[in-house]
Amino acid sequence: MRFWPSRNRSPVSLFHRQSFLALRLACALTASVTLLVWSHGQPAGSPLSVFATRLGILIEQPVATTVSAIASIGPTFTRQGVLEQRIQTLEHRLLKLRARLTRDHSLAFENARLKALLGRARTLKQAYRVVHVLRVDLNPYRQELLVGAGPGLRLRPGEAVVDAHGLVGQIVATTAHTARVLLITDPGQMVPVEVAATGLLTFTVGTGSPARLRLPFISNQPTGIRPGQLLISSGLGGHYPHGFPVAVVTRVNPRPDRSFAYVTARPLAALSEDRELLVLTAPVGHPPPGRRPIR
Amino acid sequence: MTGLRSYALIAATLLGALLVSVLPYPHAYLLGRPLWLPLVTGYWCLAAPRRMGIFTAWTAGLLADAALASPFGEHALALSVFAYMMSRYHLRIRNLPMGLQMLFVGLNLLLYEFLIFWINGLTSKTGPILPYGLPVLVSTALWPLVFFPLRRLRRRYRIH
Repeated sequence: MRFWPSRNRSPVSLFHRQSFLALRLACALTASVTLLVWSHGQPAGSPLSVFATRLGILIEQPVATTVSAIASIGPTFTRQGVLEQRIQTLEHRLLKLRARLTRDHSLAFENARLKALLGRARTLKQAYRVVHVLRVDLNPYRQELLVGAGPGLRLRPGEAVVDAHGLVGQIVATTAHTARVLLITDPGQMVPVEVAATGLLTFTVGTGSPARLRLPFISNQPTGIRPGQLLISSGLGGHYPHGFPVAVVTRVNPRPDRSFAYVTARPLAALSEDRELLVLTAPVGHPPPGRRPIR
Repeated sequence: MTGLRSYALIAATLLGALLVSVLPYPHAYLLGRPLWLPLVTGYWCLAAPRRMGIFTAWTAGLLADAALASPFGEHALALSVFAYMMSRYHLRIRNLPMGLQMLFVGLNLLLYEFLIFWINGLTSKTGPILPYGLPVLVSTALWPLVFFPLRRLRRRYRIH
């Protein structure tokens, strides 16, 4: 067995051809396990995870940009009439929404007064930043979005992401121009929620399907939870702000043979169809960036 | 063909497989997504075991981990085990008829997916095991579709 090339013989590599295959496998396994153990205990902002994210985005960003460029060829060649029609529809919708907003303003005033009477000073005032979706990833074991954002937006890990219908997820990693959003349907993601009608506090767990969430800890005893009820984020834990619609309960099956009932819900956000999303600025008292997301 | 150019060609096909697997797909496709990277890795382990070995597979797996945002080292581990199996028995697999070859590749892909399922579970991404099975079946069926074009490429550029 010779490890180093000698001067007067032909060079022999450290791993001679076809031999030491098991040794090589052992090296590779040791290296992978070391990396896995090391990266598992690391917070989201650690050098290793930042390196992995940068490397990943380096690979997937060209693909994502190419695909969205190809997808935008269609809209580029659209007839003027169609576009004018679309602008008109959008303007009409804007008008309707403005009208509704003025009505909501008065409601908000009334609400603030009532809240002041009740001694609750919590408001839902939030700043939004718009980001666009580059890539949707809806694997059974990973539910993620890659979003593009300008450098001025200053996205930070841990910030909540919503769309027009409800809560989408939270930012887990960022680079200069992109960010990864972990969806609420990811199998590793839990969202503290409350049942809007009854105030029952619980949380949802992702299932890996974009159309279903599970509520694992609902008692078999009657809790007042029924299909069709709205779940809103409870704001507990500080990761997600209070009061955003999350899901609608779809099934409540008591299981006398188990500790908890089988309860599922349908997310309200259009997770697989969204093109534009809103990122909420972290409220005061939010955990600092770099902390682990809820797992 | 010189060594360096062979390596470049193998690296290019591996990168191609990686890029194809990070393309955006609809949810229905992802349920049975073909495992392009193990298929291409497996072919080169069979056909050019001197150029493509466990360490190349490990590196490709690490890039896949980065691109797919899986636990760092997960695909690297699974892919190096897969490459080991293919390199260890490459002389025997080469002589098998296509049907048996597919069976062998399929069993190894099952091991590959099981390792990924296992590590996902250890790193708190638990889920049902069933979604991991369908890609194995789809990829096994796709083995000839990877094997013959890559063999043509290998013969054309004379990679050994």
